[in-house]
Amino acid sequence: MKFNGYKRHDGSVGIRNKTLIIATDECCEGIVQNIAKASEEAVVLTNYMTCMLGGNEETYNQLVAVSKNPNVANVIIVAMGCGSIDPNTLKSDIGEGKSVEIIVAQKSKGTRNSIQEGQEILKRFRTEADAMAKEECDMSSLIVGIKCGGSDTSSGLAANPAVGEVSDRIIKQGGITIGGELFELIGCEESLSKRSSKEVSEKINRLIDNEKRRYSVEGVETETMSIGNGIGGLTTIEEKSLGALYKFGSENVVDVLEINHNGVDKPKKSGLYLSEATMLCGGANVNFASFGAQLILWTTASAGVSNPLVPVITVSGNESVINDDIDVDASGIINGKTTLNEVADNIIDKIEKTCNGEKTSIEGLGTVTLTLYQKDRRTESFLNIRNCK
Amino acid sequence: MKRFIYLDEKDNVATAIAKHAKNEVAKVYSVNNQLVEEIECTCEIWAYNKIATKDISEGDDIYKYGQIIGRAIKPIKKGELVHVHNVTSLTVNYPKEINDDIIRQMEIEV
Repeated sequence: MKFNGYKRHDGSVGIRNKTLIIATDECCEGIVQNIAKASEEAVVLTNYMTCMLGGNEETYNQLVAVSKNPNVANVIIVAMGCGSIDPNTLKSDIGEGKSVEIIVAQKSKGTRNSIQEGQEILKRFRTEADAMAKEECDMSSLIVGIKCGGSDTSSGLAANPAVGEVSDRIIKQGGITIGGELFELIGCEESLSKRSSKEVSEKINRLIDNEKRRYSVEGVETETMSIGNGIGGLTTIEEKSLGALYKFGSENVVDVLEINHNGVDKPKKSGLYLSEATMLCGGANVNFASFGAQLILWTTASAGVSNPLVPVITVSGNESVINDDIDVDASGIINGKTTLNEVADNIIDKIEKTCNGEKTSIEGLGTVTLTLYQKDRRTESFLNIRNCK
Repeated sequence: MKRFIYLDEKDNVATAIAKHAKNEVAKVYSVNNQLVEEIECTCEIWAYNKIATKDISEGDDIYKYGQIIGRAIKPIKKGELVHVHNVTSLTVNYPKEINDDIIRQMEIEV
């Protein structure tokens, strides 16, 4: 597979060439949304959590990491001027190699002036981005996030195994795939331990345990299985979780990427990674972007999910929900009209087209907001969460 | 199309795509659409539930997706339904009342 991508200074390759507009403070949301109206290639990322740094370092680290994503050509940072997230520190942490401009609303004499100033920078940045040349690249430049949402039994039979086969093929060609949703891997610990080193296996177990702590309250059982699951044929939690695990293919797990106050881990070599990417849709998009993913594969039995920065290819095996949200129809695996390998071929074909600029089914439409899902250090401390490093 | 899907060579179960009646013949296909074998259903099997493709002894692991999804708590004959009445999780089971309710609603003969 070959595609023409945007080579960045750090060697990474973008398949999109966006201008990221960051609101470091939640009160700047109106300003950044208005600036973004000046270009369809602008992507807004607002820190809805807070305007303070203390305790919220994880959010700050994600702002830095998303800015470094290869699909981002340049960055505009907007701060109100009274918060404790310093836009200059953010700019210097994003580092050399990308144009970054800062607008401080209080220094720009208010909202209207800030919007005008921002739109002027945005126009200049779009001219800069449009002049960036593309170079021929292959699968070894790809980092692909893998996620499911709105799953049913068809997911474990069709869409997940097809995406799992694609994950294996991407890795065989030197690429990287990243899974997340550790909470949904309860019951897969033993299976995963056979596919990872002792050290990685311990890390997986600890991070799954952290998720149990986050989603359980003393005296209330963690909800894992419902009567509907049982009548739908799911006999055990292992069967349910392993069906979800299927979408990560059969390769060994290289490492688990963490996101916390210390930083955001990056995949270093070809292979399959697990990660702390959340099971929440908008949040997972940002998490994958912060790991450097240029593309997301999404298996579903409901409608599609999209975001404006990292294109999402939606795969479904449920005949009754195939509509124009779905990029690749995997239902033939169930009804016998196609084979798993044919569906995997179709997904690879769609990846190639998407990398070459073709929009995915709902790219640019009905996009979810990029949500910064945060593990607040105060809450984490209360829950006795232990990070791995 | 009435069929079962068999996901991995290690598996000792296949998944029903549609409801099958007792004594109906289960056509078991691989994910690459090859007919693997035909088995007589020895009981009713609802859509997305599992049939034993081999004789399974008490204490044997149950394989689906090529992975262990549970352990047999009684002998299971080829052609039988494989579900909560004859399989236990290796980690955590449904709470007993939900387990009983599944068996009751699906009219599983225990």
